[in-house]
Amino acid sequence: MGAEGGGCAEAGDATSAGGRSDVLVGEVRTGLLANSRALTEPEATAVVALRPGSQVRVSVRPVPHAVSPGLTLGVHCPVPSASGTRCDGLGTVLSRASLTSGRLVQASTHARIVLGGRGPAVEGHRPWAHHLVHPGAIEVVGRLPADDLADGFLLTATGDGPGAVLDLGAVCGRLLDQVQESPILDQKPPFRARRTRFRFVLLPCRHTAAGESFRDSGSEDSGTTFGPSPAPGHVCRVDFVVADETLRTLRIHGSGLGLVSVVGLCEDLALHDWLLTTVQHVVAGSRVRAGGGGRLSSQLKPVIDHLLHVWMPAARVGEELLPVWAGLEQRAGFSRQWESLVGWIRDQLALSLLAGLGDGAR
Amino acid sequence: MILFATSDKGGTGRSVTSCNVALRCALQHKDVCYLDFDFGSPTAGAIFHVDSVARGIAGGCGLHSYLEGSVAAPAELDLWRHIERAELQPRPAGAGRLVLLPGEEGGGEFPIDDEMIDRCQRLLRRLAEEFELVIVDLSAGRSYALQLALEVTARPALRAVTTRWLVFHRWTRQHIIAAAGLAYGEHGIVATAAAKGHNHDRLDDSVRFVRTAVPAPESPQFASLLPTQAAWLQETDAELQKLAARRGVGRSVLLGSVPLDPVLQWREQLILDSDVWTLRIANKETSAALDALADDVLNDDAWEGL
Ligand SMILES: Nc1ncnc2c1ncn2[C@@H]1O[C@H](COP(=O)(O)OP(=O)(O)O)[C@@H](O)[C@H]1O
Ligand SMILES: [Mg+2]
Repeated sequence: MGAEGGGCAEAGDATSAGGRSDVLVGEVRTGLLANSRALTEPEATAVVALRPGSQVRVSVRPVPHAVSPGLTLGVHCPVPSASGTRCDGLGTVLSRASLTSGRLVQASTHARIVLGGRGPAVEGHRPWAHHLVHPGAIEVVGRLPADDLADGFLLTATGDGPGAVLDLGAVCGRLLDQVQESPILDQKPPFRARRTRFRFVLLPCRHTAAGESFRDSGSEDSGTTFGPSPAPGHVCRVDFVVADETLRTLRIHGSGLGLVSVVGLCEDLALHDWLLTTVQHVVAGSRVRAGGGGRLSSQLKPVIDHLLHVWMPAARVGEELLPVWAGLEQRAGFSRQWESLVGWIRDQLALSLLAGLGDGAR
Repeated sequence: MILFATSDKGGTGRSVTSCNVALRCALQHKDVCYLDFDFGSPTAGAIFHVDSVARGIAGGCGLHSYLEGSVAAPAELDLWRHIERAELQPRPAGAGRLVLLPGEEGGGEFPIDDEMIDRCQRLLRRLAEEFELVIVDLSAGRSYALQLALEVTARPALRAVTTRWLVFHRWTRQHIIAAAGLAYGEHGIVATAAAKGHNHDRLDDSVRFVRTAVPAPESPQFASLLPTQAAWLQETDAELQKLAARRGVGRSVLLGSVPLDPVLQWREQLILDSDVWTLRIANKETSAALDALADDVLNDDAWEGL
C-alpha cells in the first residue's frame, strides 16, 4: 500500500468544532541499531530508503539524522476505546523510520482520527481514492468521545495483544524490525538494549480545564498546564507518564498545532527518553557490580563510546512546541537526570584513569 | 546469541537443564530470554515455578498463536515478577533480565509454512537484538520445531547472528547413539542444515553436547555400593566414553555434564543455592555443573572450531 506523496500528514488542526473533533494518535519505538559501529551517512540513507524512488531526508546537524519516506498503510478496523465502545475506523496510517547518529533507530506510526464526522464518511464508505489523497487520516463511524479514544489508545495494556482493534504499535514494531533486518547491518550491536514504546495523543484544548488543573502525582508523572487563553499554535496542557519499564505515554492538549511538528516532537522525546532509560539501566548495573579498584566496568565503555554524544534535546523541535520540552524538563527533569548520569560515568572514568596511573607507578 | 536446545528423545533433561542455565546466566548479569518451542509439551512454566503458565499460557497469546499469525507479538513474561520462589524475590541485585515466552496450553506440533518462517525469523532477530542470550527449547527429535529453527537460521537476517546448538542426552548406550544420530546422522541437524543452505563447517562447529543425569561413580551417592557394583559402574562408564568418542560425540564436542541429582530426579525445578546449602537437598556438584555450563554457553573459547 504505497500512496505517493509521502511525508507526514498534512499540517492540520486538532480542533473541536461543530461536533467534529480530530485526535492525533501515534506510537514511536526506539532501539539500538543492530550494527557494530555507527553508520556513515550513505549507509544510513540506504538503510532507510524503504520506498524505491522516494527521497530520504538527511540532516547533519546537530546530530546526523536520516528519515525514510512516509509509508502509507490502509486500515479498516475498530479504533481503541477505554469504555469498550466499538466504532469502526476507515482510512490510512502513516509510518516512517529514522536513524540518529548512525546508531539509534526509530519507527513511528501515526494517524489523525476524525471523530463524529457526518456525511459520506458515516453514511457510506468513501472511495479509497479519498483516503489516499488524505494519507494518515482515519474516519470513525459512530459516536466516540475523544477522551474515550485517547484513554483506550494510551492505556491498552499492550498493543500486541489479540483482537482486531487498530494497533499502531504492531505496525510500528514491524517497521522497526524491517529496518533492523537490513542486509547492510552486521547484526552485532556493541551491547544489548531494550526497545521502548512511546505512545502519544494530541487532543483539542479543553477550554474549561485550561489553566486550572495542575495534575501532580508523583515523580513519574508530570502534568504541565500552560496559559489560559488558547491561541493559534498553542499548547494548553501536557501529561507525560512512565507507564512501565518500556512504555511511556504523552497526552498533549493543544490547538492550531502542525501535526508534522507534533510527530517530530514525539520522536525527539522518545529518542531522549530511550537514551535516559538505557544509560540508567547500564549505570544501575555497574553500580551493583562495581568491583572497586577503580576499574571501569566493561558495560560502561560502549555507552561512553556510542551514546553520550547523542543527547541533543529539542534539536529538531519547532518554536511552537518548545514549551512542551521546557515543561517536561521542569517536571520530569530529563536533562537533570542525564547530567547526573553523565557525571557519574565521568567520575568512574577519572577513577579508572587514576587507578591506571597508580598501577603504572608501581 | 541464539542457543537451540535439542535432543533426540524426550525426557533427557533438556528443558530442566536449559531453564537452570537461563537462570544462572541471568544471575551472572546477562539479559536472557527463554522460548518454549516444545509445542507438544511446554514445561518451562512449571520448571520456572510459574503456576499460571505451568502447562503453557492460555488465551491464545503464546508462541503458537504468534507463529500462526493470530497475534502481532507473543506474550513475554518477566520471570523476576512471576517465579514463585521466595529466594528469588525481590529480583536479585545486578541480575540481568529473565524473560519467558511460554508455549501454549493444549498446543501441539504443527506443519510450518513460509509465513511462519518469516514470523519466526523476525521474532528471533528482534530478541537477539535485545537479549545477550536467547534460549530456544525445541521439541525432541526431528520435529517441525527443529525444521523451523534450521530454516530461519539459514535466512540472511539471522545468518549474521551467532547461533549455537546443544544436543542433550543421557549417559546410556541408546542415548549416546541417538544423540549422535540427531546431530550427524541422516536427516540430522548438520545434514538438514546443509540442505537448507547453511555453511557446513560453520554449523558443524556450532554443535555441542550436554550429558545429563550422569552417575558419578566416585560420588558419595555410590559409597554404599558393593565392590563388584562399583567396579562394574567404572567399567561401564569407560565403555560409554569409548562409544561416545567412536560416534563423534566425545570430549572434544562436550560442553558440559550434569550429574544425576536427587532433586531433579524427583522434580523438574530450578536448583538454587538454598537447595544446596540451606535445605541440603540438591548436590553441590549439580550446582557447580550448571554454573560451568552457564559460563561455557556464552564463552567463545568453549565453541572454538576444532
Ligand atoms: N541431572 C538430573 N538428574 C536427575 N534427573 C534429572 C536431571 N536432569 C533432568 N532430570 C529429570 O529428567 C526428567 C526429564 O527432564 P526434562 O527436562 O523434562 O526432559 P526433556 O525436556 O528432555 O523432555 C525430569 O523429571 C527431570 O527432572
Ligand atoms: Mg522438555
